[in-house]
Amino acid sequence: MSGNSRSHHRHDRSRADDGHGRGLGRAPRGQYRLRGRGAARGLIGRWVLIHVGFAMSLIDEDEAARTLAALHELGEAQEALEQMAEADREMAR
Amino acid sequence: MKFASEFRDPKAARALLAAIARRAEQIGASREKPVHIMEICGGHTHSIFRYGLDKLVHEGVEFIHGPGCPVCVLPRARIDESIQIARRPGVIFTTFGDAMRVPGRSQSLLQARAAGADIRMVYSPLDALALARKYPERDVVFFGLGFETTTPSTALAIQQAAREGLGNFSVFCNHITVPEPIHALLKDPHMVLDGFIGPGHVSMVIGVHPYDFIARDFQKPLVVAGFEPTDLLQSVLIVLDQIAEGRAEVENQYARVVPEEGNPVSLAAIADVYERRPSFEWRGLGEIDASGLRIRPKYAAFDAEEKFGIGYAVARNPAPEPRAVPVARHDGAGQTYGLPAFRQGLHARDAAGGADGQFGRGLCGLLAIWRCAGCSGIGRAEHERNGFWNPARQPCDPVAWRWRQGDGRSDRDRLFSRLRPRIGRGSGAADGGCAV
Repeated sequence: MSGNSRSHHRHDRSRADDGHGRGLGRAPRGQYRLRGRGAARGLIGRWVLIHVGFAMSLIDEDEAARTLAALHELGEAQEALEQMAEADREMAR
Repeated sequence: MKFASEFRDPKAARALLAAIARRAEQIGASREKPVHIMEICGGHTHSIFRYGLDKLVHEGVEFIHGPGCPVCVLPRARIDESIQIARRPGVIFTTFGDAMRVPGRSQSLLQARAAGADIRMVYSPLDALALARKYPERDVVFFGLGFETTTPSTALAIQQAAREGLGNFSVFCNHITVPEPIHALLKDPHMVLDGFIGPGHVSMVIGVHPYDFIARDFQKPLVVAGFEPTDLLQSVLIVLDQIAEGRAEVENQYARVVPEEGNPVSLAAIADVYERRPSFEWRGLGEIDASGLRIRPKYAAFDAEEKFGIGYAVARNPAPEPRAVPVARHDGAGQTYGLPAFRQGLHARDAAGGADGQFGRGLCGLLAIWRCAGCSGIGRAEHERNGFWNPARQPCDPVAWRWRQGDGRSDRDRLFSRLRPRIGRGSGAADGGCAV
């Protein structure tokens, strides 16, 4: 259910890249209208997830940053572990 | 930040793989006795194969591919009915590209188009609305299929058509839902699943609570996941963490996109336009209670089933769809489901395609059939019986196609080259993405 026409866009311009190469690039021609609450003006510059021509979700940048921070931390910890293991091997030789 | 490539960091992926391996060892998972994790969504299955994650995770973790590919679970009868509608004089039949190659009993939509029916691929139901405005003398029908991710778009299109009084627009509604088939699978005494990767974009619409029953009533962990490799690996790790700690909870790894309560505008549109059918037919699974949607009577004017007298509710076709049958697991330890010929076929296909037999190994049961609908995974005789076989055509299944194109590089090479962002690669339906 990941989509060929689903990608992350900013409201103010289209982006071709959702990284999967499935980006629609441009929303289909048609009527553009912001539905839901919140003043449209306040949404300019926010990232949204677009599926078959509809903005389905506002990307929560704080949540994204939290996930990335956790991943980064894990990566650093793993690298440290590997370096320690490597040092141990050196010592053993 | 683009919220995509950042989640493909090889360093993070290596760390997650190491953490998964530690957890798997801790809970005693092994190649012989693996933890079975079902990724429900076809998009996740696609990511797993695209990045080779099934080969990279600890051998004690086995991915079971779920029923979340709407094209794969679409019965042939729905395609036949679409073609019947498309052949009516004056009809323009519009569909996402995904459905074009799915075989019906005698033809696919692509073949029906070649034979003269006016069938057009669109990227959005809004395109179908535009056609209805442009050709007021024609009947424009949109093939509404897919799960909760796509259902709001057809609901909003119908609401818009009603506002504009576009009497020549209708939707052939075959929308289906995710939680009901999972409930059906879990009720099956033969099922041996240990946890779930929950669908990201379906959950963006419905939120995370519709899965509560999986943790509460069946004591299985479920983690709603994003579609990038580190999203999936992190979700696998969370599932293993839950198993190791004896927990069964619904967790949300994809919180950057999935709000806990889903999308209220989408949910309101779905509730306004659609109601549940008592039951709906799935390819390979048969009838599942309350798993399909139909258009409410107040929007009957936009319901192609009503307009043309064709469809699941109107003209039930009793001819049986191919069904899964029980087979013994490869290690003889238990039973699962699958088509025996399908399993053999997979091994043969993998050999021919240069990839190893991993995909066919072990529990490629009922759930692998979704990946096969219409492709050459099943033996030829079986295909002919099921009406699938057409040697001249590419397999309709993107995963099978990808495997067939195996380039002989090692899995690790493949993963780490894939982890690099690929910008602006070709699109969608042909590339294995799916709009529904």
